[in-house]
Amino acid sequence: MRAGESPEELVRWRDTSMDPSALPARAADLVEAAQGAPALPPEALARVRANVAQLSEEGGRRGSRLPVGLRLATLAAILLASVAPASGAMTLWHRYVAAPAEDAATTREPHARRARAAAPAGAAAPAPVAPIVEPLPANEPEESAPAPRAHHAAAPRRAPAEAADPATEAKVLSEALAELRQARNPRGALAKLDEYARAYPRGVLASEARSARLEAMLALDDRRGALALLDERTAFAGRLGAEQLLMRAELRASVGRYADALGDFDRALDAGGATSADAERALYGRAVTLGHLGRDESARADLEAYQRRFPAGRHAAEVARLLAGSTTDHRP
Amino acid sequence: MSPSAMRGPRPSADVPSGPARAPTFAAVYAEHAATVARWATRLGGPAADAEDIAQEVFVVVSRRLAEFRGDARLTTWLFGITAKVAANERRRRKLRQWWFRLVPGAGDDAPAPTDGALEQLEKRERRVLFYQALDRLNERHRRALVLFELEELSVDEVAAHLELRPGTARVLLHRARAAFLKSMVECELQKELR
Repeated sequence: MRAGESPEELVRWRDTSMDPSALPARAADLVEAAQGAPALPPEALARVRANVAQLSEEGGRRGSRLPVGLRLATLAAILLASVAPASGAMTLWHRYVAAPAEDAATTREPHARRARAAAPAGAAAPAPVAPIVEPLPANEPEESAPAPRAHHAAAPRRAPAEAADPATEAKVLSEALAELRQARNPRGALAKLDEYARAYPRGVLASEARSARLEAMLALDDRRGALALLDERTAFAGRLGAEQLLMRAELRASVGRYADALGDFDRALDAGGATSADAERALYGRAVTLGHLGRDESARADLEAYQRRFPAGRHAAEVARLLAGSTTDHRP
Repeated sequence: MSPSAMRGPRPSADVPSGPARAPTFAAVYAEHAATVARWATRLGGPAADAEDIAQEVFVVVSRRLAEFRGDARLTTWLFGITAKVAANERRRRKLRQWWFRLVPGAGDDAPAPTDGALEQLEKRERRVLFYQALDRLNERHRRALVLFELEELSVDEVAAHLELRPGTARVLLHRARAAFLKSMVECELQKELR
């Protein structure tokens, strides 16, 4: 008991001595179990440190960010200076600051849709400005209406109004999965996933969307695309699930990136929770990768370990063949 | 290991030091990474990915350390960030659980639970029950209870971590503990009825 506490008021449950069936004693039992949760191992903390350093470095390369107020002021200044000439600014003012009630009642989306629908074919490239100011309707004169095109260009950066509704986000993603798994249409699924990415650039289900995209790319045999996605995901999320780690290892090996593949196979084998099937796949993959890297002794050790652990494994025959001859003439 | 040992030595960077003595990221990480990871585990519960939470916390720290004013303890600042990140993670997890129910098989790549001895299993069940009860509490009660019962901090220390007066923290703890006991009984009943 520490200074400043009155013992009769606040005694920790685990410090109470009473009938074990009493509520505080039962709570103490649960507290003890919760306290016994395993701590993160040092290697996990090292991974976190490395990932944070990588993310900070990437953030630094993109440039330091100004405070929010300054960013908004800068944006507004750029907008007014480069997009809206005096007449446009006045139109914006009249329409959206001193606007009549019926204008205020219209939503953003119909504005954007009308603007897109009315945009002439072959119109000039949109100005690179963020849609801070509401776009003008398409029936405005051309010289006073540059904003709709800007909004059109920047639309993917802003989630639509329904983005706050997680059920809608899940619905879009489930449509993509239905295309992929039920309609067996990976191209349709990718189109849906593009739609999802535009609408929810920071969606709660972004990780699931990436997995679905990966599945669709592999269905199309787009190995390089799948590998690019997995490479990118490492930098972003820092960690992959066992399945995707193995998939990346095999894809890396298949495009000749043996050193990278070896690192992934090592990690897959070091992972404590690897299933037997994963371990089999990783051991075989690492053996073959080591063979490609000219590390014949290590490759042979892995092949022998495979034979011992998985005598009836999927690659048992191939392993036997490799052990009988060279270990360097095969790719996973 | 005793709880005080688990908390580790009070770091020198923890004392309010003013803006001129803002600690470096490396120093903060070296002194507080294990503590933040433990908070992440205890605030997040068994279903949370403590490593992801810790990573997100230190990404925020690396970006905002220069803004740390030094008029609060560094541990208070770090705990505030960890609690927010853990709360966000719980919200995401709830949505994911809903999503997995919507799309069967969507969570197939989740790591399989490791098997263990009967004792470990029972302990795990009690841990799960603890967090089921805790999940019914509001965020303020959750934080207070974790700091007092799991971290075994004094009332004054709980107050410092939550930026409250000791008297307010004491009232908060009373309410949090009462709410937890009620919630625990409800969870136990639900478990028996299953």
